Amino acid sequence: MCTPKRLLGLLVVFAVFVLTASACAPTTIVETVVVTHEVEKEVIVTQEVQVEKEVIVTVEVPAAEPEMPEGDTILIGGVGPLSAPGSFQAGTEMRNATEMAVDEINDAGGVLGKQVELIFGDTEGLPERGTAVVERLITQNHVVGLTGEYHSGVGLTEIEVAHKYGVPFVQAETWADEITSSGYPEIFRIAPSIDFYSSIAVNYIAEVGWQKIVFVVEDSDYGHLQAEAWTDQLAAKGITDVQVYFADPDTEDFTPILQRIQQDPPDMLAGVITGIGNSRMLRQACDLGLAPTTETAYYGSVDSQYPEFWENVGDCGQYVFYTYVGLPESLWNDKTGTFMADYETRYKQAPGGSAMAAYDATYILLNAIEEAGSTDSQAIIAALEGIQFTGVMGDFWFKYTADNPVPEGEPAWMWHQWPTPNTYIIQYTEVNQAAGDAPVVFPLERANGPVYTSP
Amino acid sequence: MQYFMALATTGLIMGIIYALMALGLTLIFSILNVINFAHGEFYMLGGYFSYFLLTWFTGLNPFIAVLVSGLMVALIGLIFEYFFLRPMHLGRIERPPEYAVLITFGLSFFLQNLALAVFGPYPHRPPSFFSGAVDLGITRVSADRLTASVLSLVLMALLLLLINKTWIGKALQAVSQNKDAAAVVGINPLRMNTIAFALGVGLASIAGALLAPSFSIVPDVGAVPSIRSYVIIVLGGMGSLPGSILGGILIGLVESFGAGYFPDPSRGLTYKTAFGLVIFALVLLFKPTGFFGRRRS
Repeated sequence: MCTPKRLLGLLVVFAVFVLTASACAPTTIVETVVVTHEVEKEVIVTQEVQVEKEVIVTVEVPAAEPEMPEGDTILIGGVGPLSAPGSFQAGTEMRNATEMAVDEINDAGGVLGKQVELIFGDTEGLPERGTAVVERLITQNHVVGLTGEYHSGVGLTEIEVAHKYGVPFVQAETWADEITSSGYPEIFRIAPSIDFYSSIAVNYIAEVGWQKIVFVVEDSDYGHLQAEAWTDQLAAKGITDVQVYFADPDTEDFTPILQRIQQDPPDMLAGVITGIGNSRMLRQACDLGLAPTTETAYYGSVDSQYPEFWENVGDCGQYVFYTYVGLPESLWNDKTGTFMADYETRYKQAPGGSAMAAYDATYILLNAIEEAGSTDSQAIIAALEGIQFTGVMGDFWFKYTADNPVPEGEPAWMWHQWPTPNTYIIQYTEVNQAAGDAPVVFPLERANGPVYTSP
Repeated sequence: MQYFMALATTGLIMGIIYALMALGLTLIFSILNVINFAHGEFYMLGGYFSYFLLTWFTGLNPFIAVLVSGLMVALIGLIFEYFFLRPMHLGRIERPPEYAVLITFGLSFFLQNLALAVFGPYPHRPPSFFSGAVDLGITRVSADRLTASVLSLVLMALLLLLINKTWIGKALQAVSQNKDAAAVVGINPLRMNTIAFALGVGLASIAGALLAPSFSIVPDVGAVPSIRSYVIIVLGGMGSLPGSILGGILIGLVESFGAGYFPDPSRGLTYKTAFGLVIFALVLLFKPTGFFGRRRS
């Protein structure tokens, strides 16, 4: 039989055990410890239940929302592909530019009086990897905001994680409409949506008057979304003779398909392939005498903007045109010029559009934290919704927000979307021409060269 | 018919180049009994070495650059074999087959990431051997690709001569057939292992350097060719040099015709690698030893 004394003693031992266990729990339980001390004073059986409840709550807290940063730093997360099968050329640029932005802000005194620390995760161009990286950044590193990403397929999975934990995320280079049409309050984007991006080139094709179009697009989320958008928008313009071929981004030899296309040459051949694929295809089309020729124009992918483009395609790059996302040199502001020079000095490489986007996205996130006055997610999101920021790519703002929802008739992807991303058609008219020197040929109101220069 | 011939020409040219790379892998397997999972990375190194040689030494003959890059990679292969594979043949490794897989896989990751760190992520392309394209009547072929194909044929002929007509070649064959018997007649199997590995990765390097002007180089450029090479050596018969040549040409033709004639043209290029794998599966089904393979005890 247990005597009342022994029972009381057992209860005290149990209460001490529970207190010890809760003290060993994660370091986030300052409030819990205070409560349990009160329990110990009372030493009543019914209080045990209260203690257990408190312990359960402390387990859930760290996963539910990011904490206030400890120490003198504010942690932010950057994401992008730094290794294969992702487009690591673009990802490396994005990481470099993000680091540069963070260093500049730290040199200027940091944010909220604290230094900013960047943790950049390699998402490898793989959706599952993106999910894991963002999950880790939020739940283990406790970042207060996220920036970056290049691949739409990866971005689409990452936004689910950011949304689950309520962490603000400024996507820099993902184009899928669904990124922002998701309507998630945490997700903002400064890259053009595919719908918008495609419309620039489609309007250009209609302007030049080409009727027979062939696309070779990469077999990925990005490629499929592009193909769908191009086909639909061209059909709306009455251009229906459109063929689409899919190819892996790391395809070496495009010749069999190019030989098929050569049987009935189109007015325009497009290589919508990220990474090295576009350069390979262009050279092979050029060697076959298919494009660019007087009969067939060649539309290159975003990779045409990199300086290595000329090394890889040689003379075949002349007369190639492509959609440039960013500011062409003729439209640079003061910040753009400084950024381009500083980046080149620091990394011995001229930056492309991806670097500009990542740099601006980082500044936008950190400016929002400063304006919010805290690292609270909701405060940062509110600050992002009202942001007015001039970056290297222009003046940033988000038209449709919680206070101004997307109205009917506007596409859903306009939610938290920078409404005026700089998107231009540029054509190389000379061999080894720098992207900054190549004329802008479309939209016509910004053009400083003929709409199309034929070989 | 012209389209058919154009595809056949393209497939044949590519097949010959595929065969050159697979030959190195076959040579290594037949002597060392090791599948070199870093073969694609030696291919990649060959491309980079050729590129940097031609960039640093302006005016250097591109063919000399190809040869030197082959020798440089062969030297790396020699060092790797001596320090990491030889212990396996000396009985110092408890589970040699697993060790061989892990060590070559590890080397593959190491070299790929090292290339990313050292050479950067951007694609590079060495200068052309000959600029422009050659009109073969049926189709136009880039002069670089044609050059790579012709040189591959020459190298394959030289390799077969080496294997069949020289003492080293016969010693390699002897080790391939029976290491103990080879040792009894005075052949040092360990030395033959080193020679075979260096020669094999050197061939991969030369293939990479020959194709760099056609396909450019990035750190992961060897991934697809190495997978293709594994298919080719199994198809031809593990360890058979003529089998690898035949397998390479067959894969080149199948990929070309598959991509060109696939009923859904939009998907032809996407499934290009899969066409080779279908042939691979069929050969394994009906002739598991490949075209010229021999059963191993």
